[in-house]
Amino acid sequence: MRVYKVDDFQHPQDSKFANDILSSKTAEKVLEKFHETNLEEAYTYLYQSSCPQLTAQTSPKLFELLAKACKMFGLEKIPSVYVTRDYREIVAVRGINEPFLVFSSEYLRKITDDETLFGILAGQVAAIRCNHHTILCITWGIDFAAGFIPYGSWATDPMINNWKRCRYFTYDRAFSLATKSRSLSLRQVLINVLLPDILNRMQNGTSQDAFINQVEDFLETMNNNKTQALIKKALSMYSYKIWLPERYSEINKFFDEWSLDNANQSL
Amino acid sequence: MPINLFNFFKTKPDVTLSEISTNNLPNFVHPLENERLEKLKESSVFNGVLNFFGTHYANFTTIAQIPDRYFSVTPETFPRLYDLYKTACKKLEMQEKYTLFCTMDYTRNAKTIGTDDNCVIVIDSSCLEDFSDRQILALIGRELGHIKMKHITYLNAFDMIDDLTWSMPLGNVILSPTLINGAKGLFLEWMLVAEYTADRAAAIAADGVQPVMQNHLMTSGIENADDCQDYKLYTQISFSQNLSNFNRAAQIVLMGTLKTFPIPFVIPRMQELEKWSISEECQQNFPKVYADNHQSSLKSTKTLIKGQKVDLTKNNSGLTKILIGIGWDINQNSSVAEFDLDVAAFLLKSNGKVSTDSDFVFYGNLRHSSESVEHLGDNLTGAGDGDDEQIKVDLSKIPESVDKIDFTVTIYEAEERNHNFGQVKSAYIRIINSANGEELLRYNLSEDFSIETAIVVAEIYRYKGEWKFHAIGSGFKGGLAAICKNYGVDVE
Repeated sequence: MRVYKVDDFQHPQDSKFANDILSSKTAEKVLEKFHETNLEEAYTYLYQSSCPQLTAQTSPKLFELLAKACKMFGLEKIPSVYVTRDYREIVAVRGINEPFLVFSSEYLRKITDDETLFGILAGQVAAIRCNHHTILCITWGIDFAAGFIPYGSWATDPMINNWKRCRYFTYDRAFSLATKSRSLSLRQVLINVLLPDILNRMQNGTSQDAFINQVEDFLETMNNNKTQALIKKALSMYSYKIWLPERYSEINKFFDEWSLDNANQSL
Repeated sequence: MPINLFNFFKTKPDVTLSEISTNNLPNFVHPLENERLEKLKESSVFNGVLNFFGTHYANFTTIAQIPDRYFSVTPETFPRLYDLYKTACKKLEMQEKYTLFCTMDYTRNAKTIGTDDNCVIVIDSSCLEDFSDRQILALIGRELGHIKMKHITYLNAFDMIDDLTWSMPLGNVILSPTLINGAKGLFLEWMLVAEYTADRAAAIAADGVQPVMQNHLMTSGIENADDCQDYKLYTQISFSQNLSNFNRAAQIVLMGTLKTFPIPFVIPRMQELEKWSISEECQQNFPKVYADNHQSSLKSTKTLIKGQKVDLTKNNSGLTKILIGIGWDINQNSSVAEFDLDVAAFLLKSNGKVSTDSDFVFYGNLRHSSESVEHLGDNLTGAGDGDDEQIKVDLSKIPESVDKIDFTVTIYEAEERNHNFGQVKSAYIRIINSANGEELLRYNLSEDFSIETAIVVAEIYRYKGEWKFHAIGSGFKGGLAAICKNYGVDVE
């Protein structure tokens, strides 16, 4: 099994914006405060005490795949996994020195095949390797502090949101490397926004791909219409939501660059 | 009426802090509750919040909107639910005077809204879809427990602060976090033990802890009731810290994030309930709760996964005689009649080898000379339910020189008959306490074997004066001969 290095899967934009945040003085202060006030322990305690922890005993398949993902992406310690009942379909990394994963039950319910689960776990392991958990804590600390200052978040949001969006590119790359499946990698981008029936009819990554025209239209508009591009930039400053067509397009580019389509490997 | 924020923190509450009482029912209040309540009552911020809640908020906000927003639960609209409510009231010796509402929500939870003297219970519709009757009894019992113990005003008063903090423009700034959160730290510490008490009420209403635990897990992210049967799988966490150890700054952070969890502190709550349910106090006062837990403990076999090692004697004091049961089925496409699997035990020294060939107990040598291990005979077909072969072990008679005993299954004449473990399914090993027939451990060999003709299923081994069990599940090629060679047994 090939072991991937961070440079293999971290998207350059993720890397750039992450460095911007980490090298800021605010980040330094937030981390200092975290250490001073024992916040990491409190934060971990909150999850440990309020979410059921999944283990190899309760979820053997998940842990088998997680161990494999850790090996593939060079993470020595298998992180703990917690589950929470949440109507939002989320999976996330949390913690600072001891990162852990949190799945919403809704998200777990939606993942019906091992290959997708493996890809998703790979994405989270890659996120840990790229220090996303630390940056998320910093951004959370900044948000929290900014909440006490009138309009405080106006100053910090653009920098944070830029990174929050681009971290998904890294996650998608890890998913792609783990599954070597273009269609699955593209499909998982839409897993949170489409009902399973509709998702199954999208035929992602094939010549019949039902989303690709929208992606191409979006990119064309952004390249050719300066007003639209400006509006998008302005909107991006105060929203961390990813632009799905961009994510889709980045995955396609990654597959083409790495010629991953022909490197299929089964689980 | 204009609100004077300065008076708001100075005035005394006009909501009475009633004495805690359980009427005729034996006391089930958590021992720390009174102490924490007293501390909370000393806080002027807390009194101000309570005053404001009682005079300005409680009777004309959320509670006033309930009849217009939710479905009323009556004997006509929800007969089953109403019956369960009546049963829960009876178990907790309370009058049926509270109004129930049902709301369309996914959270699998319930909440009591209002004040101690004027409150309604709101139940999410998802509970009616996903919960058993006993679970609903536990759910209502928990809310009735809060009502009975006069928790409702406090709980709702602090909910109000959260509502105002997060929904008012600049709420964070106006409701000075230091002041409010100081009291909220005390409140949080009280709230946790108040929940411990309410969980006990839930167990009393449902005649056992199992439905309470299932509710907690199913509300917190475990989707299916079946996955919650063995709730102890989720309560084995040991905390290096507890809530009261954190400084105020950390507690502020905790409180800012608490709202995102369906049941905050669900794991310590489950642990605390478990502890109480097996206590002498519970046995004397609530024997049904105690008995139910005791029975479910007996029923809950620990199921192991490959590679797992668990204590065998450490938590089962007095355990000396065990029965090893091994079972399997033959795939439908294979002929059952021709298939013969044999179980064997190898008594091994610390170097993993037998001392003599007689340490190999199998169908040709049914009893070890020490009488510690006895094979109960060969099943030639593996047909039927239950264990296919069994081995008795008396731990007290195992010679000191024996460090571990490995249990194996091999296919008889595998090569000649062209048989392998690819044709075998549903294999397992289990350990039974011979004294009472209780199944202690079970390991299902989930791995799909293919060309293997022998399996080392599991072993028991000595560790610091105790016996432990190791689920192995490793396949071998070469059948019994290969396995014997591995353990140093001479075979012809």
